[in-house]
Amino acid sequence: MVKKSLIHREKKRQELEQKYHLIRRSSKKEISKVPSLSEKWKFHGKLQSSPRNNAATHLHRRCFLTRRPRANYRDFGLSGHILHEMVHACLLMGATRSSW
Amino acid sequence: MGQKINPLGFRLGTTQSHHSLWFAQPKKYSEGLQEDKKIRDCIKNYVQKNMRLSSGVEGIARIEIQKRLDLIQVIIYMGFPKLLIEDKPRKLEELQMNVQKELNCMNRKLNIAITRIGNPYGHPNILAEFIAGQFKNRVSFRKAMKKAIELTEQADTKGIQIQIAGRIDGKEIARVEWIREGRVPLQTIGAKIEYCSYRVRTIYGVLGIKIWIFIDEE
Repeated sequence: MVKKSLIHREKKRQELEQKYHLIRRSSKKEISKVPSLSEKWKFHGKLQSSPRNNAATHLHRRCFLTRRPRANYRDFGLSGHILHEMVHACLLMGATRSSW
Repeated sequence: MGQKINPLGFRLGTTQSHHSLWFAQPKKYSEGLQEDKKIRDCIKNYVQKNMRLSSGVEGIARIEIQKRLDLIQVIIYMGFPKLLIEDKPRKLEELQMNVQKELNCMNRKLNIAITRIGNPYGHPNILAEFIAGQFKNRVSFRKAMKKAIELTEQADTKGIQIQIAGRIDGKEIARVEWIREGRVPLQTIGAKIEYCSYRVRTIYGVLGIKIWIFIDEE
């Protein structure tokens, strides 16, 4: 399957993002509050100074069973193939074949 | 083969019910799924580890999980629950401790119950494990299939179909063999059909066993 190093990289990014979540949120709020441009640049500099792995945009969702980086559905956290198998095994609560 | 749809998935809205019963908001749905997966894996690993000592057919047919606000109810449907119920309190409690450690949730109680199935060989999962055991003992495949069909006839079912694919009898060229007894109406949605697809690892490779059992017609 997926290389272990990729999985650990994701974990690292998740931990960092959680740690800095509140700090980044407060910086973004201040940027929107402050009226003048130069002050906005100041707060923007603060945001830029922290390493990139603290940002939520660097996270990549993966299927929680196979760690597949593509074809993931947010509602289930699973990739398409595994989703199909689990629906047929009656393991996904409330999911049925659609017909109307 | 490519054309047949999984009969369990086909009947999900009507004659087939889901194996998990709970509700979650869309954002929390995947967390609930991960919990379910952890519970099921934990139980299966535990049963496999302990059953190796007694060398019987383990026979977990289904694991049902019902979740409420403060309680998680797990019902294990087993064919031969003797192995878990013999030293009655010990093993069940061990299981509970293991699963609780995996889940590490403090606000919800966990309750594990074991139900015995009436006719164990009427359920395809248990049959498949039986056939797998036969293959590991190098029984010829026709004998294994016929013995399995005899067992289901004792267990009072209306029809059964078994398909085995792979290096049958260890031959170099793989092929697909199947037998059918009684009627197995796969296209009728009102017919209750239990299905199981199981993989056996032999020294020659992997054999796929698929079993369809026709139980009842509404």
